[in-house]
Amino acid sequence: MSQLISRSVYGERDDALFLEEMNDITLHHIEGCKEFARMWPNWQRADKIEDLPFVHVGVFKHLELKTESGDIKHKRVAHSSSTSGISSQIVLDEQSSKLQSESTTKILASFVGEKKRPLLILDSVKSLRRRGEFSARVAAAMALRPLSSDIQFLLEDSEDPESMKWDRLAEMLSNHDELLVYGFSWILWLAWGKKIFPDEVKSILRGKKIHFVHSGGWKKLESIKVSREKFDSALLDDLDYTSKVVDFYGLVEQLGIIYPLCEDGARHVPIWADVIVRDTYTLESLEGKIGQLQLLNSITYGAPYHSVLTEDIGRILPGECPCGRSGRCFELLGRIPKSEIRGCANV
Amino acid sequence: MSEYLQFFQLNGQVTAVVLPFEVERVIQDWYSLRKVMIKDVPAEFTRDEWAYLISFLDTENLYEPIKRTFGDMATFTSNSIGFLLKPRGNIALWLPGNVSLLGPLMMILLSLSGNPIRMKASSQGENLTSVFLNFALRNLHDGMLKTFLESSVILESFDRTDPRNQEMAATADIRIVFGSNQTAIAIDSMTHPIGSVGIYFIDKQSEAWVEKEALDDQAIESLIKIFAIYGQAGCTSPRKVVIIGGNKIDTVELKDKIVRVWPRIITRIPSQYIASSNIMACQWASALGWEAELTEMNGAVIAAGSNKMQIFTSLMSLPIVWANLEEAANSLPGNIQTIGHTFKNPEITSVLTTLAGTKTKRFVPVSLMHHFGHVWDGYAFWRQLFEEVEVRL
Repeated sequence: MSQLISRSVYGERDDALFLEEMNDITLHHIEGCKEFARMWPNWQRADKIEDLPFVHVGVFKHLELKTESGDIKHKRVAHSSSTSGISSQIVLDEQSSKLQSESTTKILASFVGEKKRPLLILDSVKSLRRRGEFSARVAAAMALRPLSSDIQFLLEDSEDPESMKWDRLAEMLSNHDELLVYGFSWILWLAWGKKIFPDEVKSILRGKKIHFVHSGGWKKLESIKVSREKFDSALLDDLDYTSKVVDFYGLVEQLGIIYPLCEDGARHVPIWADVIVRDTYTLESLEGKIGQLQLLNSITYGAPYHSVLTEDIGRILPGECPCGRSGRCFELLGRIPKSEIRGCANV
Repeated sequence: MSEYLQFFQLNGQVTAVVLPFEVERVIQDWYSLRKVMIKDVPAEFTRDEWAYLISFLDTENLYEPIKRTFGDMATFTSNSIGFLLKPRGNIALWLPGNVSLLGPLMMILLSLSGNPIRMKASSQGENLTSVFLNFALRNLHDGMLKTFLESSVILESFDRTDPRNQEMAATADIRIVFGSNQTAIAIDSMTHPIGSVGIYFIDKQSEAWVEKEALDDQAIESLIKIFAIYGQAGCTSPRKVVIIGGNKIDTVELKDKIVRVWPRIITRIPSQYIASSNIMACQWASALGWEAELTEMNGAVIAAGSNKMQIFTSLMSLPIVWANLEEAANSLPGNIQTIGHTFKNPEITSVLTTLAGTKTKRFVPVSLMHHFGHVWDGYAFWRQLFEEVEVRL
């Protein structure tokens, strides 16, 4: 079990302990997941972080990987959202879920504070009720639960931003001066950022302190020419000056580890996690250069998504970040661009 | 346009053919374009693609459909004429997106038939047919071919919702479609003249059958070159290699050889997207029990395993399995098109009998898997461009 999770999220890194925890958790997955063992048949304990094995994020779209061990109790399956039509399937377990929840709470508390306040989720409560599986979107929203005094789902239909329950929103705004709002980036823009509110809501909203938390990426927003500045400015318009917008990067394949954008544009790595940048062609780790991101964490036991090679590119940022959070941080630069395929077959 | 009566002889019978040109002069005109093509490569074509086009314009290659359909050129003798062949009428050709050379190759083959041609290129991706047609028109000397291309060939680019699709179908005596099953069904269901001919080339896949004893260095290089052009995305590209009469050790040996030789043959760097997807595919294959290995620069995944194992797919992955002839035939997909072979001493009768029981359309050496011709997917489609008039004198 990770010792690092009990420490301060962006405190002093203990890379030796992290490496030890990663070696232990890798051994756990090698012994408990035959598919993972087949991927790394010559695995030995690593002397450096860069030598730790990984699973490419795309494998989870094709295989439901699971680590069997006496004390692991698997529960639900989390699915990613997908533009390709094929979602990743991540098998969750009770033990990891507790640690993942603790991890996201600590991370988010660093950005939105620990004070409990009502959480308004731009999703439908029906999303929670699907048995046996749930989406990464719901997982992200629920990560804020420990920081909330009350939870309200504001959409009747999770895919329809216009299905906002205005009366519920008005009631929450009337009774509270500080709130948390979570939404998928695109939905948050359509439901809230465009400010198509009833007059009653507009007037109650004025001067409130709201921390918006969102994730999901910028592709759709960029296609309609909504920049980060425009997005944030629209959300914060007419609110208390201490309101803020927190955009986080996270994958369903790294549940529990999210990377909010700090005040100075960096994404900080919790001490129970790490980021390696790799050259796609040689898989060598790169220092200071742009490459393919590998994300690692020592709190994942139910399936081998403790170390994943993503399809995102970025680079490690040097030196200390002015925001005051210590440890490693990186810049996320986007996705590996898709290339055109020449051929006639249906591949 | 003028009409030219020409005579050909095949198996003792003379066939009269009426064309809007002298076919020998058109073939020479195509051939003459090669001199310019050798010096000037349009940026839109890769060198390999352009080189293949140049080789396609060899006179022997261009005469092949003529010879197989009409025979050798002959002098007229009234007693032996059996048929008069004439162009059937308007050809409507639908080309798929992203099959680079298909448009130019079809345009060349169809031009030899003398039928007016209306081609629809994909609205997405590069239109190499247009590039080649313009190149030809710019560089051909005035003559029968240039006149034909200018007067009888139309090339357009629009999407599948455009009403010109229906217009093409309604006015064509011959509809030729390259595309998915859905595309073929959609075009076939469009109103078309009674008696018109529909030729549909749909989703197909291919594989390579090899014998271990035949796998010398040249054979392995050929296999790599053929696979690396399209990977799994080419209908004529080997989606797997079957070692006929081999075993597991043979598959691993072949995998090792291909991985070792690959960087010498394939020097281009794959896109980052392809390299990343190969990392994924290698892990996926390994997880399923394949002995999978990445080539240099993560350009491809070569995996050794058994025919019974769960398959994995990615653009540049090549599984290698073993089987006897019967097993290999039984595991062919329903839409098999080409089997590329590398055999040492095959039992021909056995092979042919086995093939006859499958839906294979082409059985050619591996090096010729991508070679396009006038007989395709089991259709002698070039012959169907002509109407046959029985003649008894």
